[in-house]
Amino acid sequence: MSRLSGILEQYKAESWKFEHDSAMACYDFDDWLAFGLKCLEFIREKERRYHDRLKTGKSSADRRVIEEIQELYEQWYSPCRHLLEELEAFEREGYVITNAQPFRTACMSSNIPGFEPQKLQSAAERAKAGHVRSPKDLRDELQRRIRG
Amino acid sequence: MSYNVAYEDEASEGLLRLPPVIASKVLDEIDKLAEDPAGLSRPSYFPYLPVGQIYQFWCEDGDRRFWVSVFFQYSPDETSIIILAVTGQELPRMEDSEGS
Repeated sequence: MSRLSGILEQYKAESWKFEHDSAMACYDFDDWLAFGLKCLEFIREKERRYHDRLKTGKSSADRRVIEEIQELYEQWYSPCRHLLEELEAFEREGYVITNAQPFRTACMSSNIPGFEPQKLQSAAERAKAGHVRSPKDLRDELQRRIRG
Repeated sequence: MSYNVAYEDEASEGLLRLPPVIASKVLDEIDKLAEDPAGLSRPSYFPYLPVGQIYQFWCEDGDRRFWVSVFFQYSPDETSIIILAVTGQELPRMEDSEGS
């Protein structure tokens, strides 16, 4: 396990330990969201730096690095649902969380381009309505493109 | 158990955005996925649809290599997998020592 992965495991475990019964707890929670956002920023930066090194030829492509970065994202997202519930609970109590909006936005962002949650939801609804194509249909179209 | 495969329109478009030979190989991979979706994929994670599966794999053609991600759901009668998204991220080819 990488050092960052170990930190994210701790982040996940500690994310379950919040009460929402006092102003101090609210500040503590707000700081925790800020820490979570910094962790996400760090993962994104790590990914960006890796891709920059690939583009400039400073690093060779390594599937393990790509897969490890994917795992880091999954670790980061893991406590998000719980933290969003905690955030709602604090807000119901009347507390103002300064990192609420950036954290919500971050939670709903996708680390896989093209897998945006809203797009997937829409696709699922269209599929239910019968908007689907068969593999044969797609293969035929691809063959036309390859020949064309 | 083998499943039928259906592609939602946006997934079809995602597939067709890939270079044709890569897209053809992705179709082959998805055919393999249909043979053993539980074994080859993993459950989706937040923030994606909770009832869904993700399958990621490498696909290459000549000097080009893609990290492909597929999102799918099982049909209500569990006879088909419905592909909802296909994306591919192109990366330089890896060194042979790193395995395939």
